[in-house]
This record gives sequence, C-alpha cells and structure tokens, in this order.
Amino acid sequence: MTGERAGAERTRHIIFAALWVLILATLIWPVPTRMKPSPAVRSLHNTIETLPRNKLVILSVSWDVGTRGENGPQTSALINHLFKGGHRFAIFGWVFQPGPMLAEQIADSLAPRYGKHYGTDWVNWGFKAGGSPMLQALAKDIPGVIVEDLNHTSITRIPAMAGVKDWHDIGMVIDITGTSSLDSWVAFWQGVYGVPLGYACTGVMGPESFPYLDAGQIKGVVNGLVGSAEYEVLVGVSGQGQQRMTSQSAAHVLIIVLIIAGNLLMLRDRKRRAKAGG
Amino acid sequence: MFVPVHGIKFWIYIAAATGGWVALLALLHLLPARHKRALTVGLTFLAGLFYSLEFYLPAKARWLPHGKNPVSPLVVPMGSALNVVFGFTIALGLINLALIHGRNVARRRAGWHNSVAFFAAMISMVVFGLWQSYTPDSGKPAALGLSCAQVHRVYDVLFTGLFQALGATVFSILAFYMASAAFRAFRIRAAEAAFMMASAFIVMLGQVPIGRALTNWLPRHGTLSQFRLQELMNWILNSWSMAGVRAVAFGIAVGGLSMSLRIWLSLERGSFFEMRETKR
Repeated sequence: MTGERAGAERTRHIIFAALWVLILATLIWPVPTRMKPSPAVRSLHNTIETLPRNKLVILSVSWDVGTRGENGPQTSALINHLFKGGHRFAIFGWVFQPGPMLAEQIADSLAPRYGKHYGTDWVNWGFKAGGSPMLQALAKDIPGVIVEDLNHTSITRIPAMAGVKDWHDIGMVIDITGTSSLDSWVAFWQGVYGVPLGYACTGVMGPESFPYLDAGQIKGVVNGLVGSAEYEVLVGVSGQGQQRMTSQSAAHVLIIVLIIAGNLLMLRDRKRRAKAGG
Repeated sequence: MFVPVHGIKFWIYIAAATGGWVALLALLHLLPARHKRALTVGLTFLAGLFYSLEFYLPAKARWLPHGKNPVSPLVVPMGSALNVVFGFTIALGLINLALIHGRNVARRRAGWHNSVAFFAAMISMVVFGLWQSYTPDSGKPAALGLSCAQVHRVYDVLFTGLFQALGATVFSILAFYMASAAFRAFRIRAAEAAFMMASAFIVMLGQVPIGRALTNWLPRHGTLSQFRLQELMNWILNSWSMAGVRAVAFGIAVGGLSMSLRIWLSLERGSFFEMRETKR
C-alpha cells in the first residue's frame, strides 16, 4: 500500500470512528430540544384532528427495518395520535412484507398507555401482494381483498372492521414509507375517490412529495426524523423522534465540518502545487 | 363475483384447478415459439386494455351498456388473480435462489459457506414463520419436543433478534460512507458547486435543532423572520427544489407513458422471446 493510500485509509477510519462515537454519545446523553412544527406537519395533524370517528384510518406501512430509524418514530407518533383521538385504524403493508409486523410491535407497545385493544381499536391487515391492481380492487371491496387479519381471523368477525366495506368507509390513508409508494395511492385512491391522503417519508424522499402537497393531493407531510419529532410535539408525547434529534444534529454538524475540512485541504494542496510549479 | 367454498368441495376445486393449469401449461409448452409469442403478445394487450378501460371509461354514463363501466365489476376478481400470480413469483424467486446457491454448495465454489448460511436462514425462517403463524402462543406442546411458546420464541429470535438487527445494520453503514464521501468528494470547483453546498448547509442545518438555534435570535414574525434557517430551508425546498422535482416528475411521467405503451403493444426490444432468439 502506498503512503498516500495508507493515509486515505487512516483518514477514513478516523471519520468512521468520530461518527460512531458522536452518535453513540448523543444517543446515550441526548440534549432536550425545542421543536417548532412545520406547516406540512401541522397540516397532517389538523386533518387527523378533524376526521370523523366512525371512519377507519389506513396506515399503509411501506417500510422495513432498513428505514426503521426514521419510519419507526413516525409510525409511533401517528399511532399515538390515533389512539389519543379515539380513531380506529388498520395497519396494512403492500410493499415490504415485514412492515405490518414492525408496526404491530409499535401499536402493541403503545396500546396499554391508552387502554386500547387489538380488534376493537385497531386491526392488522398484514401484507398483501398485488401492487397497484390490488389497491384498485381494495377501494371497491375491502373485506374481499383483505379476507383475514395477521392472526388469520376473518375480517368480517373483527369489531374494528364493523361497517367497513369500501373506500366510502375510509376516513384517511396515511402512507408511511421509505419508497415511492405514494404515487399509487394518489393515482388510485385520492385521484379517483378523493380519499384524504397523509404522507410520512424518509428525509431524502420529502422533496418529492412537496408538489403533491402544494397541489392539495396530500394533506400533510411528516418528513424524516425531524418530522416525527415535530409531530410528537403536536401530539404531546415524548418519543424517539425528539430523543434522536441530538444525534441527528451532531451527525449533520460533523458532515458540514468534514465538507469544510475537505475543501480547505484541497485549497492547501492547490497552493502547494502552484508554488511547486511556479 | 366468486362464492367461497368449504370442506371437500374446496379440495376438489383445488385439485381441479391445479390439474387444469398443469394440463394447460403442458399444452402451451408444445406450441411452436411463434404461437407462444402471439399468445403472450395477445394476453399482454388484453391485460393492458382491461386496466386502461377501467381507468379511462367513466364509472357512469348513459352511452355505456347498462349505464355503467362494464369492466369495473371485474377489478376485484382480477386483483385476486394477480395476488395468485404474485404468489407464484415468490415461489419462482425461491426456486431460482435455491438452484444458484445449491450449485455453489455442490461444486464447492468460492464463498460456498455463504450459500450454506443462505439455506439455513431461508429454511429456518420459512419453517418457524409458518409454524408460529398457525400456532397459538401458549404453553401447549407443539411438535418435535417444542411447546407453542417456544416456537414463538424461536421466531422472535429469528425475526426481531436477527433479521431486524441485520437489516438495520446494513442500512446504517450508509451513514459512514456518506460521512467519508462528504470529506473526500464534495469539493467546490465551480460556482454551481458553491451554490449547491450553500443550499445543502442551509437544508442540513435547518432540519436539526442545533441549526435552528443558530438563528433563534432573529424575530419570530416580520421580514427578518424569513432569514431564520428553518424558513430559509422551507423556501429552498418549497420553491427551488420543488420546481426541479416537478420537472423531473413530469419527465418521468412522460417517459413512463411511452414505456408503458411500448410494453403494452409488445414493441419493447428484448421483451418475451427476442432475448432468447438473439442468444441463439
């Protein structure tokens, strides 16, 4: 290994170690932060506040463990709000198989706090294959497409599903995602039937949703970890979103410092080369 | 449209459907390539036509037969049929993986032990996943000397203890690469790069409390409040970035439309049989 390459490797290891130590330290000792909810987050919160209690809310859980760091706290904040507001909801996955099970763990852990029970206050439809054509069919016949819940109980025997037949009985769909699943909901549910849509996505996907928000096709956006922290503030709970804000702050600052350092080193090298050449 | 059946009738239907499909597939296999192609092209066109008519025809109109969209009632059974097709794709994926990794193990290729790990992971996840799914979480004995609760425990270890942790680990490695790439690759070599870096700094700092705190001294309302980092970030994302995203989305939509038409009409090169024919 040449000296230059060994130096680059050493620098890389130092960066990895710095990031690891920084994130670990800030996760162990988080600093309390004050969050001001953005208009997009506030809009989703207000929409849920005004939803009729007799309608079911669909939580489309289009994420898996890879994006749990962001989508997990979002799901938690939204379930907190739905439990608090007394809204029935259905956990539903159609992109990633583990999604409904991961969301179920979150709902199970939060339910005792609000005295909520599976089957009466929420239901888990599990994962359904079939993509967009399945979503089209779902809008027309929910019990016919879902058939049974995650525990193999017939949907028609679950109290939370009482009176739920098709899109008319759905108050809102909230797509919590780490992938581009929103387009299908917009095309086949919001666009065709006008069912209100909410969106919670990973930070990098946020900008893609703003045209939909601007056009009124989605009611609000919970964007990344910061969005879930803001949502927690609105719901009045202390969750992982706020707890992890210190880590995210530290990581962002480190990356900015690294970019500046990299550019300063580039300028130094350029000057040296100019001196050597001149 | 379809009425569920139970008991012996259910199993007769299953056997008849399986036998029918096997016979049909055997018959199709005997067809010459050009007839197979014509059949595939025809079915692709019909499937595309079905969803196009369902989407573009109005739900109700006087000029439609019986005043309603005639294909709409078929959307639900079509969705169920597609569910079955997707089920087959999962099976195909499993068979393909098993063949590739089976060959690796049989021929002791480099890294064959990874293939053994694949089989161990796949078999244990399939067995315990299905087993726990059809077993109540109780102290009753299940099978192989395990109680029902133990079956659930093993599944928990596999899913929560291994799958979740491993998946999250793989994804979190990205953060380390991003930090390293930020140091090595993000260099200001032109005015555009400087502009991009300034925007990136504002968005990154505007996303987190520490960045927002930097401009907390500015008033909350009035003209000066627009210079708070959070407001600047919102302005960049909602104006500049959104215009770009809209343009990209529009381009993708137009491209997607032309691509869909090509696939629907089987004009896409390499679709179906051309690849095989080219190889020959």
